Formats: sequence, structure tokens, C-alpha cells
Amino acid sequence: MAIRIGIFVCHCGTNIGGIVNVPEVVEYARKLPNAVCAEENLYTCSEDGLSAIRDKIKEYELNRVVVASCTPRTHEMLFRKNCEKAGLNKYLFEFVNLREQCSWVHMENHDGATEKAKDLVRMGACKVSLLSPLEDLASDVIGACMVIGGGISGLSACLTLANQGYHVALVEKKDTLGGLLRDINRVFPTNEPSSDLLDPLINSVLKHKNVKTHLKTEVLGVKGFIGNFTATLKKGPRTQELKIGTIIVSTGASELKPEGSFGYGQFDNVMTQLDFEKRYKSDYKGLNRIVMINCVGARVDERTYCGRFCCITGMKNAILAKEANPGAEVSILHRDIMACGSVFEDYYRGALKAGIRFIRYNADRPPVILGNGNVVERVKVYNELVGRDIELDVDAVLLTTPLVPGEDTRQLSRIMKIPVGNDGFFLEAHQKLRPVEFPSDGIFIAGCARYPTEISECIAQGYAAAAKAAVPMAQGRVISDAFTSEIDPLKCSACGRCIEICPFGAIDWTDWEEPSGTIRTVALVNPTECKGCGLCVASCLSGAMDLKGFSDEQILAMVSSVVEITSRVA
Amino acid sequence: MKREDIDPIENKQAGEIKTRITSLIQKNNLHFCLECGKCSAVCPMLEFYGSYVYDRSPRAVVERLSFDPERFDDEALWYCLACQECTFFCPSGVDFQDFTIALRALLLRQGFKKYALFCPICGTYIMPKKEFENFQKTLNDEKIGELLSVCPRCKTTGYVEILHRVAPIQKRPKR
Repeated sequence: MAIRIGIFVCHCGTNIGGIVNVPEVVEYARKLPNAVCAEENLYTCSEDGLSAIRDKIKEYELNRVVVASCTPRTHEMLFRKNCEKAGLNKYLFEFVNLREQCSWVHMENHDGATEKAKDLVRMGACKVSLLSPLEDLASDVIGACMVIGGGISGLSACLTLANQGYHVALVEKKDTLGGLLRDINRVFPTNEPSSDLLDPLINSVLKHKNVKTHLKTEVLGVKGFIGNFTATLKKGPRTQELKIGTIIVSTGASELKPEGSFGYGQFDNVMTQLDFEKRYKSDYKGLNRIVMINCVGARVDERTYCGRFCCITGMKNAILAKEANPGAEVSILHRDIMACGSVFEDYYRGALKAGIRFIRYNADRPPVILGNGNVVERVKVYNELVGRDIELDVDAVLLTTPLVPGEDTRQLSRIMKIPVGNDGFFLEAHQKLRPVEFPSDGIFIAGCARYPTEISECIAQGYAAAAKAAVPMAQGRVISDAFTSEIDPLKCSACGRCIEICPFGAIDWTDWEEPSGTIRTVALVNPTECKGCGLCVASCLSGAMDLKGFSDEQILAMVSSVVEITSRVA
Repeated sequence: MKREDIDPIENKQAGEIKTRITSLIQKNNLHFCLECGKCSAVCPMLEFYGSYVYDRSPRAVVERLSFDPERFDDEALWYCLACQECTFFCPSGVDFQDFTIALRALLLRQGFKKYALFCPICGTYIMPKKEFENFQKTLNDEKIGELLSVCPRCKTTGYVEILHRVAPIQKRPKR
């Protein structure tokens, strides 16, 4: 069938029309090979402009459309849908950028801009002739979610989804639910027991008819894509396969145990905040002289981040110790106090009121532990305010340490192809705009697995991840763009570069039968996960990978159409 | 000198002073100090004394006296002008001015009088010696200095006598 192209050049108000001579470009476009009509419009994106295109498609029986206007980032979807409305396959449409790539960058050179506009339109017409009709991909979404990690974030996400009617598989590697919160006796700022928070939540989850809890279970592997994941779980010697539509990662973090710092591991009475809570379990009687050292292993060269809430944790334990022993001397040696927000500022004030002594030390002159045998007897610190060293007698030394990434983080990152940031925690898709999801569709993150977070934020993130996971499950289908990459298995040399480079984990190995009958492993692109970024095409050394909508043939044709004319002019 | 070496009577006195200082600290909110430094920033000691020694500043005094007050025979406690700037600017509600005044009253009662100036006529406490010395220096007038060295009450009752000392007045003939 003959190609019949319609070219629509936009003035874009004065953005294009004020610099490029649009009527001249339209005249030129009319004479291009295969062009049957060329029009100009003031605002092609307006309802007027759109209906004009539809009319022309019908009138001239167009089977290819080129719109030369602004940037595809604004209106590509709009123009594509417009073609579809007129009965033309929406992928037989090409967008030429005469604004950002022409009029806006050549504002002083009107003649040059007009010539360039003609070249760009010619290139667009050349490419559109080579485009083929494509269909959007739609796949069903299984209405089930797997939540990895049964801490406070995972439990919150689990309950939210279950209450909405989705099936949730809660996978927890320990034999109890609750995560890090289980080891904590009381939570700030109310100082209520952590069991008050956890027990009702755990009970609701265990009893819920939509939740299947898998304790002592680990995730061995995950295959698939959004809407259709297959997870392999391992419990003891048995493995099990689970089919889910979305996944929420809430594997949490662990407290840093600072071996070698300040006598930790060497002296009996040096411990971290969590060790302290576990050892004394709220019975702090008899501890009359406590010194806490903050920022141990945090805000240092090897770990530059701040633990966020460990200052408050220390204060909480200090206040509780003071309540148990009113005459006790409790000192907190800190580098700065992080107590943001009115709730924590008031908590800090309460700690000051209780008579807890805050002494600031500098990172260059850290406190010194003075021990005798296997106990620490005194702590020496340079008090900046009085300008000399002071020595404090101690019964116990508490080291306030930050949370560090959980031990499973790296392995899970490999299994599920989800990214890990510089500090070893999971990395979200965008810090501000997409805080609870990964670049790979269908996988979400909540809680301390992402960065050290305090309880109310963990719960909020659990809710947020659940809300985002519910979207594809509620819609029941995911629709993805047809401009995806495709591999020619004949040419694939199985080097694996595309698999490694794909940021979305959309490429994987597969077995393929050659025409000769032998079976070999080649790469395969999952079109539902592919975002059409083209990195794989650029990385393929064998030329086996091509990108639909930006194929090698199409791009090279565009290039030769420009080179041809300039060589003629020269 | 270790605490055990001090005379037990002195020790008892030290204990008493410490208890009272602790209650003064609580009353004037000194324990709410966040070490923000605003008080030291607005303190006029620099302009008044020509130098600013940290040991005499509100923050240093608070820190020294807060948890383990040792020396009460300390001149640094008598530099503060009690002008109230620090109290005004403190974001945590520390009332250092009130504390200083009350602390000095306590020290005087306990006999630490070395650094204080008393009215030569009636013996009441007027101001720290250091403050008086500085007034004399800056006002550059011995006579005015002498005027200041008498307490307000005596100034009004014994005014004429003082005036005679300060400036000669013609004696009126008796009628």
C-alpha cells in the first residue's frame, strides 16, 4: 500500500512562528516524497488543531502523520490518541521538535532556523515512512501481594492491603513477627511498652482471612514482571512457588554493633542501646551512674549519615533510668542533639528537666574509656564549655549507634534486581516524587530497609507502599508502551551486557532453539517491563538488539536524508 | 585538693551551698540550656570591660555551677552586669539575671565577700568591685566614682555630708 503522509506544522503561538517561517516550511513539506498534504496551525494541540488533523486523515486517507511542533514530552500521548480516534494506528505517528530543537535555540538566526526546520521535517517524514503499526501491550494483574519482612512496616502494609480485599503473603525469615520493634521495651515519646503497639497489629494480621503468614521462610528467587511475579520461597528443606501481582520489600535494618569502639566486646559493662534494653528489660534499678556516648559509628568517614532517632532513643533510656533511680547520675556525651519537631523538642526539654547532663564533645577529641579488669570504671571527656577534661564514674557505658543495612539487603537486591544506594540501603526510584517504589514496576519499599526511620514513619511508609501496590491490582491490567526493544536471537552472542545494563531488570536469559535444532541460552526482553530507553541497543556488540520506533534502519534513514542534501548543497 | 582533705566544717558548708545552688538552678531554668550561645553573643561584657573572657560568660557559669560546683571563691562570678540581655534573648527560658543576683546574695550570706563593694556608711551591698572599678575608669572622674560608692539610701540621708566631701560649699553664717 502506498505511503500517504500528512504533515502538520505548528506556530506554537509565536514560539515557533516568531522565528521560523512556518508557511515556507509548509510549502517545502508539501513537495516531500510521499507527502499528500501539509498544513499549518497556530496551536495544533488545541481542540481546533486536533480536529483539523482528524479531518485531514479522513479527507486524504492518510496512513502516516507527522506533527512538527513542540516537544514529545508534552503532547506525544495526545497526538497519538488523536490519530487513534481518527482510525489510524497510533504508532504510525512521528513527532518533530521545531521548538526546543530549533526555534528556541536559534532565536537570532531566523533564516538558519527555517532551513533547519525544513531539514527536521524531512527527517521526520523519512522516518515515519518506515514506521510499522504496533499494538499496546496489556497484561493481567494477579490480585495478590507478597510482603517481604514482618516488621512494623510490613505489618502495616499487609493489613492495609488485606482490608481492601487483596490476598497478601507475608514472608518473614524469623519465627515471630515484629522485627526490630520486638527488641525494644518502651517507645518514645509516650514511653509506652512496644507490645502495646505490636500485639494488636500482629493479632489482626494472623487472624485475617486474606493474609497467609509464612514464618521461618526466606525468598530464594523472584521471576516475572508487574502483575505476574513468581516467587520461590524456602522454608527449611521445602521450597514453594508463589504467584503474586506486586511485591513490597520491608526487610528492615539492624543496629550497628561497634566491635572495638570504646571497649565494646572487651568490657562487660559497655553495650549498645538495644543491648541495654535486652539485658535489663525495663528493670533499671541499681544503675546509678550511666554514661551514654552518642554518634558511635555514625557521622564518621566510613559511615557519614546520621542515625536520625538514636539521640531520642538514648534520651528515652536515660529518662527511664532516672525514673528508676532518682539520684542517678546520667550523662549523655553527644556531638549534636537531633530532636526535630515539637514532640521531640519537648522530649529533649523533659530530659533536661529530669537532670540528665548533656556534654558536647568534638569528633577530634572523642571520650576515652578507662577500664579495670573487665569493667569500665571511668569515662574521660574533654568538656568544651569548661575547657578541660572531666572524668565521670560509671556503672554502665551505653553506646548509641545508628541502624545499618540488614544483612539480606545485598542478596535481595541481586535476586530481585532492585538497586542499593551508596550507604547500602535500598534506593528508591526518586527521593521526592517516588519515595516508596523501585524503578522496576510493581516492586515497592517501606520502612528502615530504605533508611533509618522511626516508628510513625515506618507505619506511614507501609501504608503508602500498600496504596501504590493496590493501584495495578485494582485496575486489574497494566498497559505498556509498544516502543520496546526486541532481540534477534540468531545474532545474540549471550554476552549478557544488555541484562546487566538494563535499569529495569526487563531482560533475562532464556533457552532458544536454533533452526539447526540445538538449544542455547540467549537474552530475552520482557516487553511489559521494557521502558524503551535503548541502553541495551547501545550496549549490544552483536547488533542483535533493536528498538521498535527507533530502529537502526529508521535512524540511519534519517541521517542519510540530511547528509544527502548537505552534500548536494556543498 | 581532694574533697576528703577539706576541713569537715568547710565540707558541710560546701554541701549546703551546693544544695541551694541546685535549687536556684531549678528555679531559674538553668538546666534548660541548649548551648545555643545567644546569651554570650548579646552580653555587653566586651564593651564594658574591654575584653571578653569566656569563663565569666553566662554559659560558662551555668556549666561550671550546674553539676559539680567546686569553687565559690571565684572572681568570675562577679563580672556579670545583671543587665538582663541574656535572659531576654534566651530561647529556652533561662533566667540568668535573676540567678546571678540570687547567687551573689547566697555567696554573701555564706561569707564570700571579697569581690563585693559595700556602702562605707551603712554596709549594704552595692555592686561587684569589678563593676565599680570599671565605672571609675570609664567615667574618668574620681568624684563621681565616690558618689557611686555610697548606697542610694545613704546618699539621700547623708547627702549634704557627701556633697561636702565631693565639692566644697560655702558655709552659711549662723543666724
